[in-house]
Amino acid sequence: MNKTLKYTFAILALIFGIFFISYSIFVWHEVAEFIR
Amino acid sequence: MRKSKKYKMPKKYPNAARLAKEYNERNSRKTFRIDKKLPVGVLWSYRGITLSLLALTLIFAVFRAPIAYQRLIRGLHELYDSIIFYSLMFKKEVVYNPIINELPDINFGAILPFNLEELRNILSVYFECFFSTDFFYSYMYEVSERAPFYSLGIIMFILFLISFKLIIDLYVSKANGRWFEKTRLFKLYEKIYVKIYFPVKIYIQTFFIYQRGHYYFTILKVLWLLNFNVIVVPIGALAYFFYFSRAFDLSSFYIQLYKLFLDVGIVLYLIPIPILIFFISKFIFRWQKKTGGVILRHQNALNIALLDKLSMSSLITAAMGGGKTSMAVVLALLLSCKFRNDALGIMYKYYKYFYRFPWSKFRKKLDYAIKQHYIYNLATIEAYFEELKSDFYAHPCPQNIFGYDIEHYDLFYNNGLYDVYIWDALETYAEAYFVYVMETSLIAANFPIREDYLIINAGNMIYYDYDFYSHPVDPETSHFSHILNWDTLRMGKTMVADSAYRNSFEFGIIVATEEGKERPNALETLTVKPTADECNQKNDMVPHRLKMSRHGGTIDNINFFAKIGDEQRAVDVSAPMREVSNEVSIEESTESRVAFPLFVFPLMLRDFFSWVFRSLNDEYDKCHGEVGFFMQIIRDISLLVIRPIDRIIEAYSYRVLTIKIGKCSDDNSGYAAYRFYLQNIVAFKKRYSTDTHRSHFREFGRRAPGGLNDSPTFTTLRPTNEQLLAANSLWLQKMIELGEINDDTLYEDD
Repeated sequence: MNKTLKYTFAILALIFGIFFISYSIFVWHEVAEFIR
Repeated sequence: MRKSKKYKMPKKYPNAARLAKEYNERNSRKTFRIDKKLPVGVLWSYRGITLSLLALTLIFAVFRAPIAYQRLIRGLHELYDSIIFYSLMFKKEVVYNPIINELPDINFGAILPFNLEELRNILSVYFECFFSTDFFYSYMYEVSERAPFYSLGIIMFILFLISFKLIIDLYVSKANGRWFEKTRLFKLYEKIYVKIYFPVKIYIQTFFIYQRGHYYFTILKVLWLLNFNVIVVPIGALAYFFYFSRAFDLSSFYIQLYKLFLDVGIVLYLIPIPILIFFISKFIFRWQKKTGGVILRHQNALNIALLDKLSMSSLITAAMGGGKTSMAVVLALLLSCKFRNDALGIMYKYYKYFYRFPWSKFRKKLDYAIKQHYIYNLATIEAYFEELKSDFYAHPCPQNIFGYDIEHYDLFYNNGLYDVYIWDALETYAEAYFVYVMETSLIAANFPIREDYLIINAGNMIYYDYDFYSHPVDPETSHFSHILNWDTLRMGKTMVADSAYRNSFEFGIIVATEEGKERPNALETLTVKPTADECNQKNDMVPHRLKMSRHGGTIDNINFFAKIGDEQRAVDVSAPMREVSNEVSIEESTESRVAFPLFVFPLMLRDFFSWVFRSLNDEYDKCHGEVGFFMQIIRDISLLVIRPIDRIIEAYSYRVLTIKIGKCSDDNSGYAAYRFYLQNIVAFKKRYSTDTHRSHFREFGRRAPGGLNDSPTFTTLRPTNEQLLAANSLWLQKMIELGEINDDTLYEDD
């Protein structure tokens, strides 16, 4: 695979990973807040 | 009873006792003890450190982690209770409620922000909320609220880039004539390095070696695992396993999940965040290394499977630099491993046939005969057994068959096909044992190949460790290939007149690189006469010998002979040599890949630091002669990142070669394509040298009065006649000669 393409995918994966983790924590936090 | 004196051997084996002692020492923890080598002060300071570590452990346990021990006691109680619950499986009349379903009455308010009821409620709506657009929008809103704060990082990065450019322009790109001066700051930095950093580093490194020799450091590690509440999780899992095996109670899952959250929460609460990050990254790195190793070993297994597709003799062809010799070397290493395994397989086979036979005694006798050089090839084994057998037939008693109780145990074994006679079994076993126990390499090559199998010898049966991946390059465990003596392959005339080695090759792996130079094709040997007095390609009968070689190197119907050659074009090799071989042509090769999972992230990091390092360092080296503090810091930091990643690239790189295996003939029909994995760690770990014939060229070079630097260069685009003549070219010389002749004929005509 082309190096540029590979790096682009890697950065996209990194951004998605950060989004996914922060979003799951956010949802948990919000739901817990609501239940209390 | 007649006993052959020639084969009498000593009753005691002092060597065996020494080897056993060495083996035990090698495998014992005491081997790592360096206490006696340490200076007294350092040793006592290490003991002090050990004691203070122990004190720290206890202080942590008492003041910070009592909750972990409470959980441990509770966990053990639950395990005990669950085992009792499990063991009462067939006594249904006994009503027993295991405590595993009760929540521990420890106050966890400080650790977890939710209780069981909340957890249950959150989990019931969590996934619904996760995929709802409202939550997504509110998340995005939250992100946009905080965006200015995050953009600070981007601004910092841009500032860094600007300052980087400024540093290059203002400081690094300004040339100065100072040659090898150390700046004042660098001198201070160097002083700190030499006086503080270096001794501390050595001190800490030695401490880590010191702790390997003492068992109480293991206890310390276990205590820290208890302190951090890590051990409770597997204990809890085991307890739930026993409970669930009997109860099959899915509703209890929430409580277990909550308890797991609790325990993990305690772990996170007890371990400081930096240490946690360190351990997590260490675990990830270990996982990556393990997975990379698994990938490499799997590829190696595929390579081994490919050996079955090759015939005994293969000719590897590819263009220059296409990886022919590397592939030949890897194939030879794999075959060497395979031969040893095959020999061991034969030995096991006969071991099973006559398992009451005193094999260890038999092996010792063979060892002795090999050591005394009674046995030095397969032919001498036959002679050795003829003598033993004649002794046995004259006086059939246990003493003449290595102490085997011939009255009570069988001399024949029916293997389902035929009756195996014990003396045949012994002879075959001895042949296989000879191949197996030969500690030198099984490869005979016309260039050096280094093997690095370990010989594990505890004074009895030796075993080989053929792992290509874990052995360091060490002269003590390196085994170089034997020098290929072509006379051993000649049936006809030999190079050394009447050589005793003529036609004597039996088993092994022959590797001949540049085979076409040794055995050129018919065109290049037009002038060679078969009737010549000295040996040449037409009268030494090597191809005839090779065609028959399998017969000399077969033990128990398993072949122990292989020949691997390489050449750019198959037709460069003489037809008879070519036709005994399968052609393995390397069609194409991929670029280098790294068998390391998630490697793209470190690679990105490395590329960034390489860019910083290279662009600065090149500019600096161009303009500066002095040794400066600033550049040293940049080097230190960037190489700290780059070097370990480079090391991984070296160790885990591989290329996939697409190869075609077929018969060497003019038409390309009948070829089948396969993949061959050429791994750095197998092929280039000081296995062979790509410039094997260097000494030959160096000898010529030493005689020459000048090199490339001394030869004149052209001065314009149209060379002068003198410059053309300086080429000593046949073609140009001929042109000039023709010109002269024409001139002469011209004059003659006049």
